[in-house]
Amino acid sequence: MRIKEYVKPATLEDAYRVLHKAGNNVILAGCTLLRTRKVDIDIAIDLSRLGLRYITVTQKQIEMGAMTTLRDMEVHADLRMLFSGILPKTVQFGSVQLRNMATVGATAYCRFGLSDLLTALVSLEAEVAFFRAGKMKLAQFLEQGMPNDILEKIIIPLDTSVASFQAVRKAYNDFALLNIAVAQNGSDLKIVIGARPGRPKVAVAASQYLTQSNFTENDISKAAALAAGELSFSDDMAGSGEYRRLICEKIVRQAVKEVLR
Amino acid sequence: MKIVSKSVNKIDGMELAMGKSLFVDDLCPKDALHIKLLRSPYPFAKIKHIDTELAKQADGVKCVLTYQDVPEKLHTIAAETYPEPSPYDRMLLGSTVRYVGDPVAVVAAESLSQAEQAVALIRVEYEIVEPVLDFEQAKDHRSLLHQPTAVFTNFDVGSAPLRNIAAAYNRKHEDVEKALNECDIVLEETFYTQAQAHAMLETHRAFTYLDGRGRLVIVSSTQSAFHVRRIVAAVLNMPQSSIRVIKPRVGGAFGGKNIVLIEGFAAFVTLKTGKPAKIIYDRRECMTCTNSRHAMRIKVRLGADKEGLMKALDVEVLSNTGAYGEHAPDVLCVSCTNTLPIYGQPMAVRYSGTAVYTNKVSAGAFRGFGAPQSNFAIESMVNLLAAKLALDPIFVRKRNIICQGGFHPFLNSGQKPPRVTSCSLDQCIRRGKELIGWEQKYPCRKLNNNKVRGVGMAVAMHGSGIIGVQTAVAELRLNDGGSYSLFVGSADLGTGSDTILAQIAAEILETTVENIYVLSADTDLTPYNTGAYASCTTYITGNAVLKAAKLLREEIIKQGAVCCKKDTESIQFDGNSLSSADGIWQMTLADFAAWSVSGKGAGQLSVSSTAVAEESPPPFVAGFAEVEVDITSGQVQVINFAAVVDCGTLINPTLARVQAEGGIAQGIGFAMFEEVRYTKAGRMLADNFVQYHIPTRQDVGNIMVEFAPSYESTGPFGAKSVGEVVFTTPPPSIADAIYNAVGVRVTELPITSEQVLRGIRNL
Repeated sequence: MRIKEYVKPATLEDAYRVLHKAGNNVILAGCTLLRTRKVDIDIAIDLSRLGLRYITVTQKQIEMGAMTTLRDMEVHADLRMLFSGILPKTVQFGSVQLRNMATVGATAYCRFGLSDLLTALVSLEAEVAFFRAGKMKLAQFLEQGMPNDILEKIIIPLDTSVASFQAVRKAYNDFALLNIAVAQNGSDLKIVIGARPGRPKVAVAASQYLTQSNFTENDISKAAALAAGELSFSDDMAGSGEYRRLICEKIVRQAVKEVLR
Repeated sequence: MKIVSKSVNKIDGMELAMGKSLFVDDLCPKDALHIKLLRSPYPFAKIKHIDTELAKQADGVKCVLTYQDVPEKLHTIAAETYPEPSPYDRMLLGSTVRYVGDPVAVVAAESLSQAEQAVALIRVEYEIVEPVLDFEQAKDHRSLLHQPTAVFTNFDVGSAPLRNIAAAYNRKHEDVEKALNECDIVLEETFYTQAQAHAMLETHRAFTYLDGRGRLVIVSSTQSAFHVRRIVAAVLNMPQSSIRVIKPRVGGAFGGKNIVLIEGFAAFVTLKTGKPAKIIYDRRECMTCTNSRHAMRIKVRLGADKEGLMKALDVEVLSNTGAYGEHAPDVLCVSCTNTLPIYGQPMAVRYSGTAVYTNKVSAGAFRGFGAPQSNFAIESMVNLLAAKLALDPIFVRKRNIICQGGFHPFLNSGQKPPRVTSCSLDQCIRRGKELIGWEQKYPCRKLNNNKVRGVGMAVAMHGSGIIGVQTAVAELRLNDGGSYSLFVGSADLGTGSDTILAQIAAEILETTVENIYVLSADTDLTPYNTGAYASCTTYITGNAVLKAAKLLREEIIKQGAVCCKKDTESIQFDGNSLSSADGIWQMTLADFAAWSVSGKGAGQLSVSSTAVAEESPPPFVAGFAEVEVDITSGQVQVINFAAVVDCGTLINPTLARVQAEGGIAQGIGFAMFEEVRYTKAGRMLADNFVQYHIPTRQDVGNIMVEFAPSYESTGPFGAKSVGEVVFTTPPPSIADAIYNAVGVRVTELPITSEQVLRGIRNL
């Protein structure tokens, strides 16, 4: 990346205003991906003065500021306990050094298809809050995007009681070839599948079937088959769509069983 | 022994760990021009027109070069001893580009971003030629990579440019077809191995400047300073006397820096502009525009009797050398001579190897040099044989392996007939079997979570230098204060070879490693050396140092006798002082050293010794893998890897151990992680460490290394090589462990979970 002008605004308003100036203006987060890209940036907007690096746990929800690093999340004591501890499990990628830079905000805003974190967050029914557009469901944002706004925080309701996160990867700190999160919220069960390699999606039919079932071995197998059938899988450098489909069913089954245990 | 066989610390270890300024870029003058190359976007094309005017006028640009500006000199960039076996098929810049990334133009500017911007201003018109991308279709393809008039070989290496053949290598012993016909069991299989990347931490880099006398100085991260000097002199039509090459510390090489690829560009820029210039490849260039391991297809036919006694072995190799033929002939040779002789059981053997040109990144030297590829195939076949006969693979190895004094027709040996001078492979196998717990674990154990653990094993050998090719000189001086200086041309690539050489000298001179200053790889100051490749430094340069140290010790005693006017026989030297046998005369080494340069003595004591590779004793390894296979996903995890190594005497046990651990990790990468992918159009996709995954500590499991040293009488203190042989056993032993766990025989590297799952589900 090549940067012509660099600013470090004091308020979100200022940041938003600069973002909307003419030119290719870019919000800087951890810069782990941006720095490897050949892009010419007119104004680079650094958000690090805005106090967006925090994790707050209240009675009802968790709020994570956009500049919270993956490492902050990984070592957070409460997050290790909540939702069966699945959130820290989703940041195995790269190295501690890399996770000290990469932020949850950029991970979400880029709608990164291979992200483990986003799959888990969708299963937990997380919301994203934008400076201008306000709050919306993460799942909805992943579908439609939100160009030219600034992501302020991620909000995770504490309703989920049990969850499971599974990923298949070629190497310990590699991106996943397939990741699966299953979460139980009251009587609702939600199956989310990501790294297909498309963005994480809820397996709607499978989730509904499972929620209404009696959780017998047969029901679980049927739900897993539905999940593998209703979503699309495709090839990328890490592996083929065919392989992803082949392993999907059994891993969904594992995840569901773990939640029901 | 007081110093040899002790794990003394690396002499440069602390400075390296503390981040001192030791590497090429640390030492480069701050005002050096930055060089960036324009590269071909096509795998095969002719340059019809090239316009550099805009680039030349751009800010900060000092020099733009195309094929029209540089000398037309056919050469090879392989840093091999002259006359090189590698075909001369390259120019510094040519009018034809042969892989995506082949250099088209060189730009030097005051800053890197200026150079990058100027590169984008060069306009090139290409005439696209149909590329040869599949190496199995390369032979007799209608597209010819190189015109016959544009390939020169120093001697016959089987080069046939009209057929896209870079080199061929054939050996046979007895009638293989006849022997196969007489066997109880004959197995046939085809294996594929990928073009692994070296992935050294420090990418390729060099800088150049003119010294006060107008001589060209090249500071390069290289394995062979002397070959850099020779090749750059030849390519740029300069006398060797006007070039000095210095190798500072090197941040990893693994064979990848045994080429003279970048120095010529920087040198030419400096000659044109008079200014210092530096060239640093970024990671993408390092992975897509330098060299790699030769990808190979290996067909093996193995015949045996019912008891597992091997009777016939036929190995046919097709090697992909890519766009240019660096190391193509000798990699074929090593893939034969450093693998087949491990089976000393008398049998008919044949090796037929062909290296073909394709429009892909050039292959070159890489740790193991062809041996790991054919070893994967041969060892997999021996494991398959054991499985077919329902025999323990260890039993089959014991029946067939070579032993000390054993003969093999293809062995690199100075003896006639060729024999193994030292070998404890049987002990390596016995101990490795204990370390991995073979008795309890073979063939597999089912765990209750959809996982199965299996064990597998393989053996490997290599050489120690190249007979009749490699040579080293060591110069050793006693300084006026009683310290020593050791001058060698070998290149410490981070392996610790400078430390090893200091230990060898210190042992003979009965001094400490700290009392010996080692200066290595500076063509103005150090004596000739063929460079750090083919596992030669400890064995060959080590022998030169050993001889020099013995000679200097004799000199010290001889001059001591002169000093005290007694017979040489009556002088004793204990490292610290000289004394006469009767105890009347005594002098410290420091006083003696001062005396020797005082005008009363014979002058500074300085000796020079040469070692030539007359033997290439093979080191051996027995490797054992324990893997866990997840039958739902096909994922494989290495749980334990045990290796027992016979590298002769250990000069420095810690340095030998880290060589082994690192080699095994790299071998596990070759086996399971490092996947090389191209687009259909011929561009390499795996060009960074996100796409190209080298294993981390989390991926390699628990590596256990032990040694079972034999004594190699031709090596310094009984030592042989260790650097390459340790790479080789992971692929076949992991593949067999997977077979033993889930019954899936993988014949293509890297082994992926997808391959394994398809095998498990019979897809």
